[in-house]
Amino acid sequence: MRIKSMVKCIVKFILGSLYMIEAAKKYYLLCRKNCGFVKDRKKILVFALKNIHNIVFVKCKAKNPVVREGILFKEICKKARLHVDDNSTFVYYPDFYILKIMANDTSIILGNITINYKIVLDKGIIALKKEIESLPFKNDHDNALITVCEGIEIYITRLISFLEDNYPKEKDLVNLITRVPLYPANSLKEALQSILLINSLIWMNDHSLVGLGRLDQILYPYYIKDINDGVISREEAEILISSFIETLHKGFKYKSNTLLGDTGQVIVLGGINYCAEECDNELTLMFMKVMKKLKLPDPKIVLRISPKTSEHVWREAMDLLNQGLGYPLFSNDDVIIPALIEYGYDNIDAYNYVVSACWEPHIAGVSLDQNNICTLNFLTPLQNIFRSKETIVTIKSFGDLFNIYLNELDKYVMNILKHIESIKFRPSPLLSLLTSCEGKDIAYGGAKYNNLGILSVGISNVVDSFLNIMRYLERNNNTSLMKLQEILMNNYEGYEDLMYYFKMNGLKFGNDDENVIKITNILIDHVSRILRNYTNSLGGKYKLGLSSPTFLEHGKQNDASPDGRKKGEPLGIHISFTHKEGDYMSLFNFSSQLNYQIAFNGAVTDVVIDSGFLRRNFNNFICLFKTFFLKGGAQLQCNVLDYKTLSDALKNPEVFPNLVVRVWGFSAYFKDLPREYQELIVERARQYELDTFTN
Amino acid sequence: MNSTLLLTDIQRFSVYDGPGIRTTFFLKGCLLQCPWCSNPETQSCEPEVFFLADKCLINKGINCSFCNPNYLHNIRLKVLNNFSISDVSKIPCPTKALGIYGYELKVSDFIKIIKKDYDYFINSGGGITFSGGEPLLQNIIPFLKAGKSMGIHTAIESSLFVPIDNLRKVMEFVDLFIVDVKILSYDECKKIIGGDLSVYLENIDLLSRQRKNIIVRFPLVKGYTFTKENLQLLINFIKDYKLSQIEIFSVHNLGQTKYRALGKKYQIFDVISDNELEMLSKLVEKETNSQVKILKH
Repeated sequence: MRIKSMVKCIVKFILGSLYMIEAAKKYYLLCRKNCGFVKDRKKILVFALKNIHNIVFVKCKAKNPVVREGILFKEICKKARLHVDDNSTFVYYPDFYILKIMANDTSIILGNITINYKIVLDKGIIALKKEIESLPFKNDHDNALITVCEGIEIYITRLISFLEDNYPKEKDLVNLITRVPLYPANSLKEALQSILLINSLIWMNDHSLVGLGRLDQILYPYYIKDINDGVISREEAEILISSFIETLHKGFKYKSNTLLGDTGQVIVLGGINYCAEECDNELTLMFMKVMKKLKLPDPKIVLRISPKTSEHVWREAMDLLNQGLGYPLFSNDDVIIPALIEYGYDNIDAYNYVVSACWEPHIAGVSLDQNNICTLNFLTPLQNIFRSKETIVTIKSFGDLFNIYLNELDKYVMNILKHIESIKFRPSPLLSLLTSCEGKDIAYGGAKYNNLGILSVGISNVVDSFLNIMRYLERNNNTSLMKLQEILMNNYEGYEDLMYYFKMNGLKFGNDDENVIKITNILIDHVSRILRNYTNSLGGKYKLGLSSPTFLEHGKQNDASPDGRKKGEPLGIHISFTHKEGDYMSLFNFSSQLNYQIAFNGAVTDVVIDSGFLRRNFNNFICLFKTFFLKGGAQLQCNVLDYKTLSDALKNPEVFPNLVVRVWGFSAYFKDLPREYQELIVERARQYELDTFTN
Repeated sequence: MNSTLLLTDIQRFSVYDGPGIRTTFFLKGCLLQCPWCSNPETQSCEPEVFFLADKCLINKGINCSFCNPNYLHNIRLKVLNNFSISDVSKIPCPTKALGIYGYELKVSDFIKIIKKDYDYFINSGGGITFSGGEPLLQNIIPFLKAGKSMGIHTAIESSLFVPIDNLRKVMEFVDLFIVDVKILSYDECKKIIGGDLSVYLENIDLLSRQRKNIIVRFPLVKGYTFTKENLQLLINFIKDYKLSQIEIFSVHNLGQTKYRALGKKYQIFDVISDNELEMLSKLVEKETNSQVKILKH
């Protein structure tokens, strides 16, 4: 054994010094993505060998990470493979086969960030570069920004000559990229092209989950100018938007993060402005209309709504929702904006919020905010208690248990913070340029905001557990929890009656009962209070969210719990009902009374709606949603499903190649999902179908 | 005055029983015995024990410490008819295999429930509906008054086979009457559902003379309501009373489980195809001055 591990160490050392490990890791992941995230190593290796000729290496030996990252980016621009599809409207080809070779670096590459494309559209790269060049004193950071701008110029020059050599007829495309993104955009088409090129460079620079931002707002001035000047008609604009969306869909597999579809390509539409005026416009509708026609799972829409959202935006949004693509996700400005301001974001930034990959509010172009830095599992502290016999013996009442739980939760949160403290981010002069970082790199706190977001899972499971334990103690005349501990440790074996009793009886998370809401809010409040006391290593703060993608992974690691959940079963999904008798009204009333002001980093109520039921009750659903938001609901995600289609698709996924479903915060083709996700979605659909039709 | 109701269920986000988003209260007790009834648990006006053997853990061979020990033997032997209401009410059956249909609701609790959804009612033009069973057999006036005093729209879904005084008393508190129309020949009506058609007609006459807002709901059941003769009678009926809003729907077999739970026999009915529903709706619209809506469950 010892020899084996020594050999391993030596090999690691040699490879490490050859700067290859990271490149190899990245290439393996790339091939895994292409194979649809399968676990079949053989398949991945075969693919890897077949495609090895596509790999392009870039390297840099500079020691200073900022300098190194600047040079590496420039190298990418010099070496990235170029490609233009025949008859394409735009130039867009993020080359995912570019591999950076560097010393083993444990820092984390920034992702999950939406930049503000408006900066590039307004100024252009050349002007941005000049601004930096004119600084009297330049440090490494400033020089790296200049290197990045030079890189972009090189990339554009290469593209132009590539087009002239290979597509001499594509004069329009040449003219287009001669202008943008180097110079300010002058038309809708230029603006779209500028966004696409910058976007492709962000992908090539290894960032994941690249958001798009408030495109209806950013693009509107260009659109309306074109329309007024007679440059394009509305129909032509729609065609442009449509090709833009199709173009963004390219590289779907490679852009996916952990499952096919999880790309973070979110377009934010609608919302109010700084003067609290509704600012949806013709493009808001046009984007939704185009998405409805294209029926792609990616990119996807987050629609910011407020009481001022116009009726036609609601109708178009519901129509889009009814396509069953899993979007738009609704985000309530009336809840999110005040929460952001209260938390410490400037008013003007709060009004301009976008979301990172799924739903976590994010300020585009001025923040590093890593909104999904870590997941807090509310069930784990309770599990710790039940794993300790010594602790269980001391518990004499529900009050005891609850206090001990809060103490455990404190310890657990502190551990999470300690873990986060140890995280270092990798510099990115490219993102620094696009987020207006002055003086230092974004990874070192150069952006205006440097807050870190913690997501959470298991809150529904722990609330249900508490409600059950209360009844359990009452029923058993407040005897100790020793017996229950034994039952949980044995995974309910021989006590299935208790498991069902816990699962199916009594009040549950998602019920609009005072006590259920109170317990939930106490937990939210408790964690927020702890987080409020700490600043992170970049000088920012922490924030809490109530929705996390990791309900399956975390569930696998948790013991059986007093909510009637067996060991390894999934945890609850976001804010949704955990029991079969839940109804929309109860859930929405429950959800709208949660304290989102201190837990806004993803606050998604998640429901499944039968597609026929939605179609037949369109107006009632619009009313339901509007009222939910008026009463304080924060965000809403709907999976519009047809149970019959889904259960057929489960039997034979390949027969339904275009069936799209919503996973945690993204939409995906059903056939692309791992079996456990497919089964979970079908089970939820079945449950909702029963609820809808039994009366 | 007795101000509690005996209910079997409360359904929120109910969208089939009147306009907008509603909460429907299913009241227990009915004078009719429609063979196709999909809510058999609402027929008797007393609480009833239900038992679903296939949900029962003991029946599956799993130990259940929640059940009454006296029942174990019978459940194993599948002798399922000697449960007592008072015993069952003490059992928190883990899988809800054993339980009671029928619980009481006080006005104060009723108000708490409707307050929760008040905004939804107002914004959607919805409200509350009393259904059943036959809601006009219980004293719903305090409940209607409570709803009205909050400015909430009220509806009743009734078969109208009740003494006319029951109807007269509630009329001023009800915004919408959803009235079933089933079998329109005196003999068949008596024979099949056990109702005196003249009572029904007298009641509908009262509503129509008072110009009450009425939706007529017609369940389609082959061999019973969906016959040539009955359809002709239906058309005449709509014309006679100048009814303008008609809803039709196919009988469904979703109530089967409840029959089983009550130990009652259930007859399976043919579901009417969308095509036939479509054709009938066109026919009625052509023959009368009414609008026909097809209800889909």
